[in-house]
Amino acid sequence: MDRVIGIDLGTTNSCVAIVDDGTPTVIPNRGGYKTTPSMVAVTEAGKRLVGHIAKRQAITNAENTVSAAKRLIGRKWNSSQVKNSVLTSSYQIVEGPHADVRIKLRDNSYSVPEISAMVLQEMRVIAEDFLSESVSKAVITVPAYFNDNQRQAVRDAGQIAGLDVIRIINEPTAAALAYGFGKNYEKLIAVYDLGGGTFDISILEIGAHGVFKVIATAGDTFLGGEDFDALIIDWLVQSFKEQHDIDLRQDRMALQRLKDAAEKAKCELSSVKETEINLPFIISSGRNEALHLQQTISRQTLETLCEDLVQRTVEICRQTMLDARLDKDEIEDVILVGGMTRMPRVQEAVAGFFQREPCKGVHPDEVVALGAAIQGAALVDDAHEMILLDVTPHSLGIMTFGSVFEELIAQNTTVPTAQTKIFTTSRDNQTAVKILVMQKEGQQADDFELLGEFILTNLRRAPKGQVEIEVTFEINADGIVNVSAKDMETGQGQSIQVTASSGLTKDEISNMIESAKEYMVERRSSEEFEAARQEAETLIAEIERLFPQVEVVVAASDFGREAVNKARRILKDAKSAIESRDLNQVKSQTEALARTHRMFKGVVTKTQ
Amino acid sequence: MTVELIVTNQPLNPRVPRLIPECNLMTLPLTPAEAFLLSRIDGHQTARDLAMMTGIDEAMLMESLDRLAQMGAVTWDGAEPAERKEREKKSDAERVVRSIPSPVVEERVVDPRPEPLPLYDPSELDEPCDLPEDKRRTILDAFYRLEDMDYYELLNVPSTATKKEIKDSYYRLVAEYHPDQYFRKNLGSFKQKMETVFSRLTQAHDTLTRKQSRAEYDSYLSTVQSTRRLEESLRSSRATVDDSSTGEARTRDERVEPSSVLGAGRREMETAPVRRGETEEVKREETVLQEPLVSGQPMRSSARPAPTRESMRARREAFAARMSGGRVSRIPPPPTPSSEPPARPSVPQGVAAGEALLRHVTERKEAVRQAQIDKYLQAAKTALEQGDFAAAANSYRLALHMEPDSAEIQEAFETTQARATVELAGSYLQQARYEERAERWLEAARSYSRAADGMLSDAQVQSKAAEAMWKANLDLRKAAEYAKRALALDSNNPEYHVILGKIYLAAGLVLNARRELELANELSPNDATIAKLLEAVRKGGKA
Repeated sequence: MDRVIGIDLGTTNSCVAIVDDGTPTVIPNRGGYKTTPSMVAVTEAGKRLVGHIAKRQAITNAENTVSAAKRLIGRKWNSSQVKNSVLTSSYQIVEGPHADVRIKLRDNSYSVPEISAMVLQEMRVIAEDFLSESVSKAVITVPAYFNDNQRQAVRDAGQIAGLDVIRIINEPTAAALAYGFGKNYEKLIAVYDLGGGTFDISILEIGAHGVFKVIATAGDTFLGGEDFDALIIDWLVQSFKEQHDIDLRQDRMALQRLKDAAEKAKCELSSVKETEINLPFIISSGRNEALHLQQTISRQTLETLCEDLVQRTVEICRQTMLDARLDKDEIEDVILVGGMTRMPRVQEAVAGFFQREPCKGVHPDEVVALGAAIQGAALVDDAHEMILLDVTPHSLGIMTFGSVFEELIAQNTTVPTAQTKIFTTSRDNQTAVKILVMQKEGQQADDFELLGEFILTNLRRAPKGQVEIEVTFEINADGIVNVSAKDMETGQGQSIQVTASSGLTKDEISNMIESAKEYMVERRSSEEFEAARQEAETLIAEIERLFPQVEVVVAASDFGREAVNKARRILKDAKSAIESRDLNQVKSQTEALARTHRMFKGVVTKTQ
Repeated sequence: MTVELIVTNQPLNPRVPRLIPECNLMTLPLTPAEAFLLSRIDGHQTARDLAMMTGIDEAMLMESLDRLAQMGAVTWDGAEPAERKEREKKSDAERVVRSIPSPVVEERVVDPRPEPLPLYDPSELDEPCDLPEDKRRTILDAFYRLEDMDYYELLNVPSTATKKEIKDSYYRLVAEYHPDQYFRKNLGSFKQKMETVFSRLTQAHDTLTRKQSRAEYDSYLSTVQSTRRLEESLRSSRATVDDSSTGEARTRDERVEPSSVLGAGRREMETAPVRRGETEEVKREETVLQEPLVSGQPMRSSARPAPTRESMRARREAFAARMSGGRVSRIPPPPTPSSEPPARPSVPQGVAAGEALLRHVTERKEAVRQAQIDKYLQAAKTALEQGDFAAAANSYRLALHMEPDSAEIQEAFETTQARATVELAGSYLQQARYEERAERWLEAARSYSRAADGMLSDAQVQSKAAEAMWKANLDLRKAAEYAKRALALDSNNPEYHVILGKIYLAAGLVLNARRELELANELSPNDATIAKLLEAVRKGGKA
């Protein structure tokens, strides 16, 4: 049976897990870390770097290092969130061919799913290396409040990374799965998930027979640790400006250093009351003198800066409890997920709102990946010991005459589900209607995302309001939306599967899949070459060490001299093979080197 | 032959014992219980019916019947007229439609009735997919019965279930119907059916686990319940009216020749097979009367209520009283069991004793009949006091059935019946309005049309029925009929003309539609919508 990995594709960090013999386990990366930064960079030499290594060089290569790509995934170029990111990010964000978003690194521009695919590919490699087997199936998590376009973009990213994404699940739901897995709980819980880029709140009921039922979910896909960092950066920039009258934002490298320092300070302030931010030589002044940034920040200051953000999350919690028609005292446990929940003020606010101490039993960084792995295993395992009933986080409907949104499937409806409504024509003698499938994003009236559209034609000519059209929305267990429309008189109908759009065309995706594959082949072969080169170089060094001794011993005979010359030739050939990066050459030369090495060794031992 | 088969294999088999006319009962060594049993055998009641009716323990009953068969007094009704078989099959099918779908959870099956006929085409089972056959069957059973189940039945919980019980049952069921159970297996058309069942289960759960929505649903259910009950009792009364001539004939027959009551009764029954259904109906209503529905309790209408321990005891006691020759007063029998142990009658021997017994039985029968009539009248009165016209009408009907010559009862029955009809229509109307609000057009159309049938003089309801049928895209002919009825009552209402016009349009009768719209336009010349509609139709007509 194919094993399924669970991937938590985070805004700042990603994590991969698997269920091994019934136990969900997080897979550490080569460095031994259980989470890997969701960062991608391209070096001057055109080499791609992902994870810790990308993060390490971020300061010196700020313009070509992408972080928090998840905040852009599945979004349109003209959305306010993208505009916001364009202003604050250290890398270049440009408009793509389909009003989507592209990121420019060196000479190439990449779509956001491609960047995410690089991270996913890295997670896949981490799992494959650890398991020593190839992995192709994955469950990937997304913020619960992601819309269909964003989810589709993540699906596409998985596909580009060569993964069969068997299910996309919501992060808080995954956390609940990991929390309740194998424990036979029967209780009502709240999952408060404040990550690097997004905030989610979900209310779930863990029931008998392994059923996990989501009751309500809500969130904000642009509210997370990054926003906390941004506030600290603002504060630092502001005070620097007051001191030196220099705007640090002008300098991308300075900005990157500020970003790192802000994140570090924020983390430190979770355990200490005060910390110092020290960035020497951050920028040079107009008079060519280097300036340093030195600033002490207290927990108090941080909390004052970020109180609005914390209150926003509490407000969403309040709304969600209302939607779920539940009282706070009905909640039996509160789970904290995401690195940001380490912040004392956040914990305090959550405890204050729910009037109970949050559960300490889960690891905020790993629990989501574990949940994804559990869901993956449950789906492919024939025992099916667990069943997850999730809800649709946004209401779905169609846009009718005069831009009025007519809801068909309400927010927080358990999927799979189907709903039907009857509509009429809005103009006399209208023979066609355009069905615009929309998703309602937020509380604002104009907050809609277009998921798809199609046209129903050949309607009977009639006065307006007379021809009736039956529209049916269906969401199946895989979260795929099907919309069909039928002329009630003729029975004629049309339907579409609404494939939300990530902003990429099919062709683009298949090209990306190809190039990702090529990259992997290249990467794998370069890894192989590296291994061969190392072996060859070790032998060369060894032979060269022995060379003087051997030369002395064998110099007496012709045969000896010839052998020495031959060894010299082999060394030279091996070096040039390494130089030319020819794997096969290196491999064959390695054999010759090994023979020479054995001979040299023999000579040396005999004479001793 | 058949007897053994029945006795050994299916003691509760609803087969019918029948008297052998040639047999001379006087010569048989009968026990009083057997004689009583014989007097109840009419060639139509099944063994189960007899057990219910006499209160004799089923095993004992079968033993007695077996003995009677050995003595040559009865035989088992084997070859039934083809026509009746057909009818039974039909009523079986009806039963299936409204019965509790036990396939969802097996534990529930206590009903010894033969397997209900499947509601689906068995060929649907043959669709190639990865589901095991019993699973396919379960899915189809559930899917095709969704419409006939209320939420409680669907979740397999009593209407008194606690939130916890509802949730528990829901979780067990959804784990079965969620398509993830067969992830990436080929489920064919079953996948969608599972999803439909799943989402209905979820709807039921969500409705019943919230206090307010549950209360609303309960009150809707009880409306549906009472409507159903009203309807059923009305239907059976209609049957009585149709049948009254034969009924009278029979009763008179019995009175004229009391000594040959068994034989005459039998012959009568044979010539009028229609009665069987009716007798059954009577019995069912009796049960309803004795065990009034708890409000909100879904009525498992057609599934015959299983005899409760109490009712069985009551019956057995009544039986004992009859057998003991105990006086049966004119007042309905007290619910508490008589403390006096029934005196055992001496077993009469010989022909004279047999005659005495028969006379005895006949006398008792008359007394019981009188008591029964009084009981029904009393029940009717109580029901009237409670405003339950359906139950009252029903009781009067039963009383009338036993005393067909009483003009007094006849009148009371007719008045109450009329009240009940009105009430039924009102009840339907109420139901229809809930359904209309919930945009369940199909159901609304059904309810409106029933309401309209009962409120023939209410033009508004007629037009509502027409509109609902048109909206639900049901029978347009019927819709037009309702609209015409509305117009017959109030031909000056432009709205009704518009509705009829729309129905004509939907049926493709443009000229008729135009005529109606023109009339509407004349009646209400200032209505822009009508004018526009008319204009469009005129144009369309030309084009």
